Amino acid sequence: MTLSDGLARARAAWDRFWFGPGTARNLAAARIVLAAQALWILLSRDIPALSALPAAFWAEVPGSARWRFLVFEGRPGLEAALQAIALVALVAALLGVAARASCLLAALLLYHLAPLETLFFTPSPWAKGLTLPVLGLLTLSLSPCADALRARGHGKAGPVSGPDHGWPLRLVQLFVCQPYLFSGIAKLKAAGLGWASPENMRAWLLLANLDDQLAAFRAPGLWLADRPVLCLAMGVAALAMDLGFIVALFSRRARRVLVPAAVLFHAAILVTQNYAFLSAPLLLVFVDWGPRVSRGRTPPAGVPSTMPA
Amino acid sequence: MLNVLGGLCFLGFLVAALLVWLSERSALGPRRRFVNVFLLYATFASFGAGLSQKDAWPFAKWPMAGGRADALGSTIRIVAVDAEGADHGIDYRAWQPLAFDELVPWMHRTFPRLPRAAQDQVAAHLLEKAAAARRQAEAGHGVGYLGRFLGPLAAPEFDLHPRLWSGPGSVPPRPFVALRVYRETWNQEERRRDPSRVARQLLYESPR
Repeated sequence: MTLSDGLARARAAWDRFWFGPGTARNLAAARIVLAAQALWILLSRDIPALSALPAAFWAEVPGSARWRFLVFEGRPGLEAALQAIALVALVAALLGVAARASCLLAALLLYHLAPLETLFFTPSPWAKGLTLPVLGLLTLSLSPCADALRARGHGKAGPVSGPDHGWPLRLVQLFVCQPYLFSGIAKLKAAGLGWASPENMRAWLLLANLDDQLAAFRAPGLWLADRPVLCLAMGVAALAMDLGFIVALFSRRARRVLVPAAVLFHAAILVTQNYAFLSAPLLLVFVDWGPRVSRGRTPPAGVPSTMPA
Repeated sequence: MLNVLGGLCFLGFLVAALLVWLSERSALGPRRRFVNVFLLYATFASFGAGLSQKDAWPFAKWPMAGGRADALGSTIRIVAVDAEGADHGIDYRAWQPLAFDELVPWMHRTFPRLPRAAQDQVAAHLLEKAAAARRQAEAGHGVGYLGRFLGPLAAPEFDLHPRLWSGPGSVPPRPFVALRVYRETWNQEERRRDPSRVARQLLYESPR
């Protein structure tokens, strides 16, 4: 095989993966899931109030971090106004009203607001639940994400499927796979396969359960920590989930197993280690909403079932 | 430097998105070409952060439970002091809108480095929050306010914490007059065998 053959094959595989058709309904469902997730987090926090923390909290925040996110402390009123706009944009995105503009506005405002929650300590609010909505909503702002599942009377009916409904959803799904994959890579880079050893699993369980300030559930994790075989099983299962979840991106069949398995994985981590993975609801972007909600229906007359690239 | 690179990384993502948007309006050329540029950029930026484990949020490195857990544990414990000098644990919701998950690591890393005047400013703020939360809990109004819209459905913090002041009689009865900050350290295995095996060092007390 020549280099040009290889490149042509790679190109074809790239096109097959990204530009295969997707349904308008699944893409619209991703819009709703991302907007709802971001609303859930924003309505559970008071991010603007953090702008009013005493100056001492901000003493060691570098100027580059402030400029990167345009976060300058001491402006809770301005931040409250920006959050209000973000909430309106997210509700509009949820309903499919001016969906593309709403997704873009919400993503840009979340890029500013999310780091405000943690900036006095770290510029990366990766654990706080708004990371994937920033990337996902920005991606959806480039797509016909309101061709389905939108508030009645807003916009004209779009095609029910096509490549333009496929690549944005696949990119969102890739973003949702990455926390698992990168977490697995972080484990391997730092500790190798020994990460899954019973000793290391026990140490993680003790770390997560001995400090009474950290642990809401203590008994299950400590029970598990005292059982080396179960610790090993837990370590192997965690690594397998982290490194294997990406298969859900390529295989519908694997998705049917991996998505429920991921839900169980997060539930087990919650109970044994007290870590709440706030992006877990985004697993819903892997659900195929088409057959479930439109069973027995055919596309309306005059609506094309595919759209040219 | 990482902040600059992280900012540029997101800026590049926006530029790639802008190219797709412009190509849609036939201002640049075939849309598919710019969608490919956008997809390539998103893939490279996100995998770049994840594979290198260098965070460029929102292209995050997702380092969940990475590495080997340390055999030694340590934390910061902030306690309130009443007029009789007794220490009282503080419900994590008292710090809202601050999250325990940021506050405690910040107290561990940054607070000890601050000049005394800045430490006093922080401590005064925290004491005020703790005292107000105690009064609220004592009056039966619960602790914290972040459940104001969604109630029990509100998103928790990344780490779950026990609700110290939720049970009857669990709220400290006397007002708080001071704050103490301790550093606690322990050996995991020793503490598993005997929960009292924790060394405690007073880092700060306010008012002096």
